[in-house]
Amino acid sequence: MKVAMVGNPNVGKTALLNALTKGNFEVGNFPGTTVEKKEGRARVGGREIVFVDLPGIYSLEAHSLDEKVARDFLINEKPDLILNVVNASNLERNLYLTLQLVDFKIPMILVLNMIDEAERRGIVIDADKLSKILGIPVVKTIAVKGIGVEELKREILKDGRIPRLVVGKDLNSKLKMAEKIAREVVTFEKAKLDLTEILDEVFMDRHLGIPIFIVFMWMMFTFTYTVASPLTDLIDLAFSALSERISSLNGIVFALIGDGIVKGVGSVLVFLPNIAFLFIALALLELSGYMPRAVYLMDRIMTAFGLTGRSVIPLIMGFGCNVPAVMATRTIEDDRVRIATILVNPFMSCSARLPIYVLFAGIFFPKLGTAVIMGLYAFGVAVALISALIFRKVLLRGEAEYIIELPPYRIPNLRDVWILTWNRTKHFLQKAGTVILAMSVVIWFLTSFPSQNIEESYAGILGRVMQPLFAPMGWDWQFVLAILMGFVAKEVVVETLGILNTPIAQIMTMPQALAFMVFSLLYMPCLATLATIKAEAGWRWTIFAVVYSFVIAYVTAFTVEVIARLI
Amino acid sequence: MNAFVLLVIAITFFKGFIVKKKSYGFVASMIAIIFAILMTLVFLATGSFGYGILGYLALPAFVWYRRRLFIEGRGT
Repeated sequence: MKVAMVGNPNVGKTALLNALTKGNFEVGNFPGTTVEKKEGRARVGGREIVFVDLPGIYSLEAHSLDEKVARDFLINEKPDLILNVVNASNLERNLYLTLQLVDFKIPMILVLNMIDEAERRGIVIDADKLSKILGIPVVKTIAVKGIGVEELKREILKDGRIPRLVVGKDLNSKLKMAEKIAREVVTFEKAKLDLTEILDEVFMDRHLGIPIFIVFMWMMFTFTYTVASPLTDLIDLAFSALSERISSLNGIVFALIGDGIVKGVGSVLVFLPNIAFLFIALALLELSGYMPRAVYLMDRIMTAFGLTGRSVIPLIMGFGCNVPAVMATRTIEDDRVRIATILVNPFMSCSARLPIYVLFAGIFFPKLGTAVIMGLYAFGVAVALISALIFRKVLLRGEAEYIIELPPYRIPNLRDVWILTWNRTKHFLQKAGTVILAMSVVIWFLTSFPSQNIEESYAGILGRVMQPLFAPMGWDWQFVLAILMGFVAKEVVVETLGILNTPIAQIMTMPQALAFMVFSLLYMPCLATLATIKAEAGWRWTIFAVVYSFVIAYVTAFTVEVIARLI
Repeated sequence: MNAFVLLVIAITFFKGFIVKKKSYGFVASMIAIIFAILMTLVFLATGSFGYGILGYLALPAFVWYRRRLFIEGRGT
């Protein structure tokens, strides 16, 4: 039996899926899209049931990708039953979608979730009356606590009922009917003290809202990078030791396995703690109800650049690492804004580039090092925002359609947090790992043949061949090779200069150094980021990201070098 | 940035005193405790001590605000 779970965002569909399947669900994508799909299985009363959690949507009018995916699923997959999950605190708004689902003539059950929140607010719903009006079973639940789930399972076994309500086809008829039904079944009693109102008074405060948001972002940043760092170091150590051990054995096969495959796999897995910790932090923000507040607070600023409030979190995460930052764009509903955020994310200077700035700033700007580095970060942000504006005006045109809804705050269920984190992290490993693994073998080949000496390898030859392209910046071939190696991972830039024993201060001038730092800031993202962009946006946008960032980096670096020389 | 966090917590407490609303003190103490938990994790991960750990001192204040808010409602 296939059951589709449909409802507005933030109504608790995932928590309900978790409760119904006891955590036995997987996260993937709907075929041919980057829209997240959660599918779980459960044995209920001896019957095998597949639950498909469709994306949270407000209507089925197919204006956004999420709505289109949900509508196409209902038409093409023809589920046996629809569980329409509704937030009991906002019945009227949720009923608009319910009345659209009626048109599909598929058996339905309406799940009135978060009934405890509604009661706290003094909202009382006559579920029996609602069931009579709609002609379908109505079940009250508190999904995060598992309350009402057994009754829901009993109703599922009865296969629901096809709604017999007659509803006009047009928007206005449905809105009026939703209002009428809500008026008939909802009554209001004296509300208990509302935690949501208390928290929103401060979190949405005109003066404190944004500083508090920055505080939470800083905490998320610290959790993702600093707290995860021992695990990152451990994985790095383990894979480095393993790689050295294997490549120390004689034979080209061992060299391939050690320096190519193990090193390649290690270069992906070293990000794993950061990714997992990021997903934990995001899950906590999403499930607690704070995320929509953050989106609302930053929305006006982001809109000026063609983005939305939801773009802020991925952009801030980009300061740590662009890989999890690109993954974090999944929370952006509008596909055009999501693609724009993905494309500009690499301009947010990741932590891997910091060693480059520190090295060159230390040599050429000993007194102004901090100011120069901060300037680079700020410049990266400026390029990101201006690029976003250009993309939205030229390539990804159109008004971003989204609704910001402020759901009630809840204490996140730790089991939901764990399951969401695990499923998303697993998905990352599967997608990013395959491309990285293949490319690492290629890079190993280029740096190991025809000579083990990097200067005489294909990579070294490539550095000399490519050097004339960068002649306008006046860089020697060692710097060009370092830039090329930085394509694998930005940390490798400094590592390459170290291996070549490059006398930086002797063969480079200050304008050239500044241009090098600017180029490092802006040029194409590392392999892992590109693999992630490919997974999230497809090959076309990945190639565009490479070409665009290279052109911007080249032109900007050249301009900086010329201006710095003239000053 | 850790100093910025402590500053925001302090300003939130201060605003609560000015506008006479307990919700600000409640939220400020809550943020202080969350920050203290995070600084504890940072200490365990890196050995680096941050003054944010002292946020645990806000626990009695959090309990007091929570009790007063749920018994008396908002305001003084």
